[in-house]
Amino acid sequence: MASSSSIDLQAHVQSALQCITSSPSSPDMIKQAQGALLQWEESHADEYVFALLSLIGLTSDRVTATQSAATLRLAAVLSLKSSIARKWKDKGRGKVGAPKILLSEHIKTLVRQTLISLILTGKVKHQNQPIIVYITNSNDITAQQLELVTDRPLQTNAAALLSKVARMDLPLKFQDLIPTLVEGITVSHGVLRQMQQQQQQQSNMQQEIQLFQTISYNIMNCLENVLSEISTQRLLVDKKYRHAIALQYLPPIVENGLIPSLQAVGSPRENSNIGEEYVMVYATLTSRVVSHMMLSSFSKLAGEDGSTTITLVDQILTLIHSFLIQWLPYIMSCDGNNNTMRKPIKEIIQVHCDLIVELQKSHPIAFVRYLKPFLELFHSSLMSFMTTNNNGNILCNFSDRFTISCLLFLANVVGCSKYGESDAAQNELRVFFTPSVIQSLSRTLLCLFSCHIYPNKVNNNEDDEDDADRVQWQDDPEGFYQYEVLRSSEDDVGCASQNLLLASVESSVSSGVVIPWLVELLTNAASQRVAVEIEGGVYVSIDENAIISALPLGPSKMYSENVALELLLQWDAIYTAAGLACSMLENAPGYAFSSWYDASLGPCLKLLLESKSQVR
Amino acid sequence: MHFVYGTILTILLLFFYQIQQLPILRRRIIWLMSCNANQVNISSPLNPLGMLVSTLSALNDICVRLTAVQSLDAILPQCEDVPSILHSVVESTVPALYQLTNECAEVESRSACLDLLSNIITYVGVTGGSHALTNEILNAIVAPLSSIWANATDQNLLLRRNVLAILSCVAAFVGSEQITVLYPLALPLIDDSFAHENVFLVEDALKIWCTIIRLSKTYDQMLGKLFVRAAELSKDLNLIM
Repeated sequence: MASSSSIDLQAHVQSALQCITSSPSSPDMIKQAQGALLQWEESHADEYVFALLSLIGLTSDRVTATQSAATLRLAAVLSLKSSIARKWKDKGRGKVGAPKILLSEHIKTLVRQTLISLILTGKVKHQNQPIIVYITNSNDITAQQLELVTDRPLQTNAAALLSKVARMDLPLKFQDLIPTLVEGITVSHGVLRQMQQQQQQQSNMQQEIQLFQTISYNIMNCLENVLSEISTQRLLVDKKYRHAIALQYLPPIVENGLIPSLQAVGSPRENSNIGEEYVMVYATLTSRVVSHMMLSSFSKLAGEDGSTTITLVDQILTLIHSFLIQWLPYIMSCDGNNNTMRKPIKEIIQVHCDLIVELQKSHPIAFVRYLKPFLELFHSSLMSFMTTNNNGNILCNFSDRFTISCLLFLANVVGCSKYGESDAAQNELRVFFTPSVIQSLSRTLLCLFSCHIYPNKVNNNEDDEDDADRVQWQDDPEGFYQYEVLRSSEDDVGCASQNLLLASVESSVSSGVVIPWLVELLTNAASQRVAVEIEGGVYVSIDENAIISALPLGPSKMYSENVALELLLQWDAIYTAAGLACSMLENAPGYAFSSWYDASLGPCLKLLLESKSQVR
Repeated sequence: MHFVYGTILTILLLFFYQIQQLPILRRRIIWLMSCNANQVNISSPLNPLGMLVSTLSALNDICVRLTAVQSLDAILPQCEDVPSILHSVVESTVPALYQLTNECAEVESRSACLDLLSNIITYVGVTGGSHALTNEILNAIVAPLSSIWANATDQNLLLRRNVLAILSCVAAFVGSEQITVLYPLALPLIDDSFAHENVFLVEDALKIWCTIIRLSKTYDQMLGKLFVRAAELSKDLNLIM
């Protein structure tokens, strides 16, 4: 294959890439080099791709002192990515009738084989060898392979490229991709397990263990990229392919990937390895892989009672549940204040939370058998969110992902219309949502409605990232108004709380408790009056205890230092609930908006408008 | 002493709060009225419409004023049965809305204010309020429009739709008797709507152009100058046929 002309072209391509990536090159030189690359791609597509494949395997022993092999490899894989996007498949673009030169089937096979081999073994093939050899012994790996295996940017881009190829090829071609990757995971997990057992007798195995951890990571990362890419394909043939993949390969992924990786993470109180980067990143990857497979095939996997697949689904969801039940309350409480440790574990937890929320939402009936444990988990986590820190104030991160996941899950369950047709679901919901649970939950939701008006947060460093740009009413009233209009229940705690309350008001499971409770709150005219007179500046002095006794939701510790403010915010929340539930409240006994307006609300507004208190 | 201290502390807390307070309940009650607009008794002695209009005053916080715009827009249909209440507030509403439009920075906020203005004009016209929109008020409505049009560039370009909508409502209101008064303002804006960067305005421009032609009693040279645009647009008909 490697003819003299191919070698010449490889040298030219290398020279062009060297020019593009070296800092002394002027913009004109770079443009010229880029133009040359495009021209070679157009005129000699196969030879050009072959040259790039060779350069991807370039190691330090084959370059001069002034060149960086890693930089050239990266430039080669990025150029290959662009070429493949243009030359792999006819996407029907460009001028009608214009000839399209695509890559030959031979070079495509070489690309597939080379990329897989690069990820599994760090070896770049120059011959078309169909047999993939997995590394099972560190003595089998050469220095060149080690250099490529540990080149993270190269491996990341190779995985991304392979996923693009997979998207274009699967399911009609390249069917051995996923089985090969899964086999690679199985093999490397077996080797690692053996090494870790041997390490207990011999302490000098750390380097070998790290090598195989790197190989496992590369393979799992590639698999995750591929599954992520093909999960968005919508044709029936693609969906059937994903079902088949999940049925066949989910068991080994769980056994050799998910279970050991979550065990390696440990628990918050003991044996925790959240400081180990590899452990956390690998656990996140395996969680994502399982998530992709479950989401694409859950209805198939869980649809057949008594089959082995349902046992597998039970096993996976039980594992996820036990993981979340250890970590979710910990991360949502003030105990998780070590910021450098929190981020990796938060990512794993978020993947699992998102999986559960999405599974229930997209397959509500199939999810019924798992409703009870996850209802208890998310509900208790949400209620524990309202814990206090040392100052006695509530943690209030408006974009806290886990709180939002809890709220979303509960809202999707409560608001699921399909559960109205399922006796099993109705039973589960009636048993869980007792009147006291509904009331305490509703009260908690109202406390979350208005916390964004007067933020009262503990400095949580990295948690402030999402809230750093949040508009404050005091600073920008117009921006605050638009922020409230545009916020979404998927990224805002207050909005997600409103969403859940609205679902509760409309659901037959809870409306019988929530609506009378709301009506009762709204009839508390005395408390409303106190609140309005405080805002209107009517009160010159009022005993703090009198304000506390006027709190319609009772003391909530949200603003324990300023009970007057708490009273106002509680009424703001109650009025918000009344507005959201207006259509359901219309027919509620004991409530009529027009009468309430004439008797209470209108006079309150009049007092506020006539008051001399500062309004801006 | 403990009790006295507690009272003093509470007084100080209230004082401190009032210096920094936001109009929380004021805004929320106004918002609540928009949610229950169909149940608001517009004839109530508490005069809900009047209270909302008074909230548009520049003395109020912008968030409260924008909420009042939202609420007024929701409550307008209730005024069909008692139009005199609406007619009585038009004079104070127009300048307040334009002031709020000028004070706002976001195009969505400004568009909401102008939308409300065109809705008010429509409802006044529908409810037989010819006396409510005097020439002075009509002048106050149309005077700022050319300036708004000229300044509606970049991300504010969409405000030009609002300008055309207001002109369309005013044209429908003044009828054939006074339509010619609008020619110097409306016809150049219609002409400008066919410029390349304003292609999204073509439909609105055609509507108002049609309204003006139907209301015009005689041919006018200004109308004639605009006709060249019809010739250009007729080429588009080839794409439809």
